[in-house]
This record gives sequence, C-alpha cells and structure tokens, in this order.
Amino acid sequence: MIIYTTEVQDINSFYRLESLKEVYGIIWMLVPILTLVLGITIGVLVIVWLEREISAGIQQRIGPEYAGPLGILQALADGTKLLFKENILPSRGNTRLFSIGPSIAVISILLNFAVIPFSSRLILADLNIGIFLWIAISSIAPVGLLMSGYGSNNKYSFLGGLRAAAQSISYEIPLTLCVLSISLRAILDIVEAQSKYGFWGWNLWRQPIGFIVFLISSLAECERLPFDLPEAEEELVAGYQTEYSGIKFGLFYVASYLNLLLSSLFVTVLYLGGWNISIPYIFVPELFEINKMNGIFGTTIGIFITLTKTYLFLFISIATRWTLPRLRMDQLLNLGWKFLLPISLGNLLLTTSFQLLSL
Amino acid sequence: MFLLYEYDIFWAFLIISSAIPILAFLISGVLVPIRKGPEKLSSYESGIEPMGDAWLQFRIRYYMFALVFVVFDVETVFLYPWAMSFDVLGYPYS
Repeated sequence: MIIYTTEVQDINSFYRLESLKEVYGIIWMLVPILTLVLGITIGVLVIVWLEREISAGIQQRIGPEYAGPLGILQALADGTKLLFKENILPSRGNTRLFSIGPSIAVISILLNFAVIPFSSRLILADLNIGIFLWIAISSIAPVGLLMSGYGSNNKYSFLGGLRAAAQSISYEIPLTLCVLSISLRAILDIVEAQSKYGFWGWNLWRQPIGFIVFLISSLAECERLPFDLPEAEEELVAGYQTEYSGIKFGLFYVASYLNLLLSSLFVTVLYLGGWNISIPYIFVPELFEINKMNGIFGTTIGIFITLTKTYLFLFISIATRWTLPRLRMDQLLNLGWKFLLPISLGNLLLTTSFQLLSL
Repeated sequence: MFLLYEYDIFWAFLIISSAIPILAFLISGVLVPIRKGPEKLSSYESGIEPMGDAWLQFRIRYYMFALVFVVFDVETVFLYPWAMSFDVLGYPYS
C-alpha cells in the first residue's frame, strides 16, 4: 500500500515537472514573439509620426501637434478612430474575400519580420534560408491585393487590384536577383562579411548597381511614390482600397508602413552593414573589438545601430515620396521589366565574374 | 513539417500574427455603430450611379505579366542553389 502510494506520488511529481517544462517551452517561444510584435508596432507608430513630420517640413507647414506632446500619439489616435468607424460591406460583393484580403496582406508582411537579425544572435527564427524565406513570403502579398480588388463589387477596385498586383510581381524579380547577387559572395553570414573594414566594408560599395536596383524595387514593392499608382487619388479613386472603411482600411494602411519598415530593415542588413558600428578601424583600433557584440550591452548597441541605419533609409524614402512625381502605369511596368530586370541580371553576371577573377 | 524544430517559432509567429487581424475585427465588431442605408451599400463610382457590371473585361496583359513572372521566378529558384555553391563549383578550366 505504501509502495503504491509513493509510486503514485512519484508519477504525479514527474507529470507536474513534465507539464511545467511544456509550459516553460511555450513561454520561452511566446515572449520573443510578443516582444517583436510590440517592437514592430512601436516602429510603425514612429514611422507614421515621422512621415507626417517630414512631409510637413518639406511642405513648410507644421505637422501634428495636438495628439500628445509633439504629436507623437497621432498614429494611435488615427488607429483608434478607424476602429470606431462603420464596417461597410459592399452589396453583392464577395464578403469572405473582402475580409480576408487585407488580413492576408498584413499577415504575410508581418511574417517576414521573423528572419531579420536585429543584433548578433538576435533573430526570431535562425533559419539557414532566412533571406529566401522573405522573398517567398513577400510573394503572397499580391494575392491579398487581388482578393480585395475582386471582392469589392466595383470596377475601379478590380482594375486597381490588378494593377497593384502587376506592379508588385513585376518588381519582385529584380529584388530577388539583387539578393541573389549578395548571397553569391557571402560565405559567412551576410552581415559578418561586411564587418571587416568598417564603413568601407559595406555591401553598398561592393554592389552599387545592386543597391540602386534594390532601392527602386523595394520602393515599388511598398507602393510608395513614385510608384504610387494603386492608391493614386486622382486615377482610380483609391484603387483596390476604394470600398474599404474602418479597421480593414486601417489594416491596409498598417500593411503599407509595415512593408516600408521591412524593406528598410533588409536594406540595412544586406547593404549597410547590419548591426556593426562601421567606423573604419584605421582610426581607433579598440573600437574594432566592439564588433564582437557580446553580452547585453553589445546586443543593445547592435539593436540601436540597426535601427539608426534603418531610420536613415526611412528618411530617404519618405523624402522621396514627397519630392518626386508619380510614374504612369506603363512607365512603371516598363521600368520593372525592361530596365531593372536586365540590369539585375547583368549585376549577377558581373558579381560572378569578379568572384571568378579573384579566386 | 513537424520534424524541423527551427521552424517551431515560425509557426507560433504565424498563429499570433493571424490573431492580429482577427482581434482587430472582433474589437471593431463590438465598438462599431451599425446604421444601414441603401446609399451605403452601393458601389462608389465618383458620385454617379454605377453603370454596368463590376466584372468588366480586363486587358490580357495582366495575365501575361503573371505568366512571365512565374517563368522568371522559377528561373530564380533554380539559380539559388547554383549561387550558394558557387565557390565550390568554380570555373571548369581552373
């Protein structure tokens, strides 16, 4: 009887230990994910505020100043307002596709944040094929645009959705080929290979053509001006977003800024040296050791540097939006297929020949 | 699919990020006022009555773009393994 009791007690304690381990495992996975989602949300809020302030500066007016100090909470106020707006479903439109469209756009862009290194050893999912996963998942976003264009029972939405999807897929091939050229020469991690000579070790100098093509392609992928036609107010009313109201429109809005943040982070990681300080080692040889980036202090500095470089690129893209005029649709598609695609193929060929000559 | 352990966190991220639009729709469904009207349900065509059906004939070039995109995408997928093992393969005469 006593042995039976102690056996039952043993089994009970073992079971409790096992379930605790399960719970610990789940929490160990959830905490980084929720931290990343929180970080992304704050990043989007900062980008929206930055866009309003920079556009105000370029247009010589004052930006938001009433919602919070210096208008910081403006994005939050906009989002909350959109939550309270009525959700109008168009009659005779496909209700399921209408709702799923913006969700797919947001989810597919949000998934790509899992493979970005914010500092050394600070990636959500350390996969071997990380960068390829970005290329693959970002190809799902045009499906969401097509769904939303078709599901609203509107000619203009339909045409806008087709145009937006055509633009998205046209600029993915030069993007993919530029990423291919970079992954051709990096034997180690892409960021570590850029850390040797500080500022001069950036991939920006090793592949200038690739950088320009990547810049243009990622601006076109995010549907930012000068490639703004899917949401041009004068052309197709609001393109595929015409019939949307309330939080579904808010989801498209958020997806656009998420895509911009994602592209900026990828430009930083691929071309601008990632989390390395990038001061040339000629001046201060001791700083070169900070490139090791261990411990909490090193990791925090890494995150800070990544975000600084990201926001530099963001500033450039926001300033571009408010400076350049819009391209027409056929000019846009011409640029993508007849200009950027041969150039990125040529860039790949050039990179390959330089690799061969140096081997 | 369940044997690749490094993808576990990716699936968890997928589930959580698909919960975000669902959460947004739920909150919106609770907070939103519903006042139906006939004008609200009609499609927008710059203020006039919509003429004709919404399923109009679209230009065939959109299908051609998708086709050519698939071709070039498959070509890129084939180029990736070559690029990864490029330093191993090298030039045939060296």
